[in-house]
Amino acid sequence: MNPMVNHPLVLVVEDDPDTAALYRTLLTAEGMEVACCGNGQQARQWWQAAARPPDLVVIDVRLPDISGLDLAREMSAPRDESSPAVIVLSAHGDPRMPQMSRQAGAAAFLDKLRDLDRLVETAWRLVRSRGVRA
Amino acid sequence: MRRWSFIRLALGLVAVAVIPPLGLLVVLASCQPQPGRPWFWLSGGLTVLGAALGAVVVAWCYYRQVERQVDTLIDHCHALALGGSGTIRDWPLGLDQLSRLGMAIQVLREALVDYLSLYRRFFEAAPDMFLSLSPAGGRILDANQAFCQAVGRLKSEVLGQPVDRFVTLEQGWGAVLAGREGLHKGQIATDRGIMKIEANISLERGPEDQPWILGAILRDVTQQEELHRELIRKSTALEKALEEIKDVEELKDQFLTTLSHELKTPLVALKGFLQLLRQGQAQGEQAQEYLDICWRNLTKLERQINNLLDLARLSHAKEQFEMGPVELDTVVRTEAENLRPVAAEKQVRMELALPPHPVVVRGNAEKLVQLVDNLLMNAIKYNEEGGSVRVVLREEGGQVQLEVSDSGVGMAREQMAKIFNRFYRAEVSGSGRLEGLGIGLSLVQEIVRLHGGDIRVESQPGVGTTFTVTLEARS
Repeated sequence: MNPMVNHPLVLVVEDDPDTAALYRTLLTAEGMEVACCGNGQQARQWWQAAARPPDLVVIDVRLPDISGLDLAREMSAPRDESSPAVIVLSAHGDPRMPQMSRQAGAAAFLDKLRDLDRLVETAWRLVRSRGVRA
Repeated sequence: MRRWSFIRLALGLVAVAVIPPLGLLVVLASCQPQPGRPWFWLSGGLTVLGAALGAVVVAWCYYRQVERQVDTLIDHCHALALGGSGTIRDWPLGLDQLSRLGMAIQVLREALVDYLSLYRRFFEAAPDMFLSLSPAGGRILDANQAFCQAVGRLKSEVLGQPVDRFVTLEQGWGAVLAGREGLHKGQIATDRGIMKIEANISLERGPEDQPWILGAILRDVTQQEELHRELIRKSTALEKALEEIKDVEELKDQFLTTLSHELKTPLVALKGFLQLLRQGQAQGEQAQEYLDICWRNLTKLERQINNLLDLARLSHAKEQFEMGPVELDTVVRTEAENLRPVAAEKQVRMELALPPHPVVVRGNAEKLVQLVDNLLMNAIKYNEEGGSVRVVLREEGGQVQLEVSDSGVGMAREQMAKIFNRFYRAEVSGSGRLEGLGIGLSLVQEIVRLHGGDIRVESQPGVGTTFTVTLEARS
């Protein structure tokens, strides 16, 4: 089996430290390697310095310095094998958000609270489909 | 005239009546007149001559009478043409044809006078101002009552005067008199002030196309223009109101987004970590850590909900608050202490300058705690890492002043006008995390109002902001 699928690298971009800690706990428990950034700028810097690109990026749509959708667009492009799958998370409740996220290149959109239980499952699904492609 | 014509007629008749009988008398006096004798020829000749002379005199008198009566009719027609309205005085009496002609002219005159008076009535009674002007000098040839009333003059004072003495046109009368017909704007100075007018100018031309008369219809548009201005003013006000509504709508949308985010975010951590605890996935220290996170988020949630509910209650003034003596210096000291960890997390230094004696105000303790808490929280939140917050409390002349200054990002003037608006959250540059529903300062303002106090803000972008709350000291 592909080692990348066994220990996928996940970048979490979330400004609330407790929520970020929760995502880290949930994903680490699944054997994923997790890096957390509190804003867009930190995420970009992490990407530049990272030894390998992440397999999955989990982005909160509301970030203090940049729109999460813009960051999703940036991180999901170029759309080839090296670009990670992106999950956009939001607490907005805006009905247009799923479509806007897809347009920004996200592979999935989840409501932060309602879909919390689906985060791990969605993360695995996206990582695996990417692993199969790789 | 009439007497002389009778004398002339009488002389003619005398000539006819006297000369032929005179000749007859000569014939009779010559006794048995016979043809061929001198008396016969003389008397015959005189008779013929007398008759001829009489005929000439009668014809001449008749001709003169006809000429006079025709002259009378012509004079009368001229008088009518010049606008006279008198009746014919030397009425043709004896000459039937002339008499009928005179009668026809009289009927025509009556009809013309009727028409004239009809148009005169229209002219005088019109609510618009009518003027006829001489095209050369712009002098008033005729003016109706409406115009005379507007300028507050008698008609005799107006006629013959240059029109620009009374009426000012935006383009000037020079251009109009030079042939610029059409609609012009202008004004008339009346006793009641300036009357705005619209002047419709038309040039009437004579039979040989020469400028004959300038007609001006002036309409009072003061009210109309006032209405127009009022309409513009109202539509501007409406546009502004619409903009404000749009702003409020935008603010509402922003607030709903913020509310959703601010209430859901602590819930996400709560739900997630509680689930882990429930599933027994954490033990010992880790379980305690999860519980701490849950507690922190629960407190955060409680604080947001309380602020929200308080603001709703305060704005509707449905609740009566218990007022009593509150030591404001103690409140400040306690709240500063409570927020010290938050300040420390952001590396913000907190300085207090409190008087050595208690500073007591009359108020609601809980609300005053909320006021101080929100002001301090704001000063920390909008500060920069390594910045400072300075709190000064002073009592002067029966008033207590609480000053909270930060060394933060500061605000521009237009931003300062909005900060007390409910749900407004200042934009913060940089990468700092911004929590809150945007109701803190709005709540502070409501609390200050509840205490009959005053709040003011001074700020300079890049330097910092100072909020000063003034409350009555407890007497």
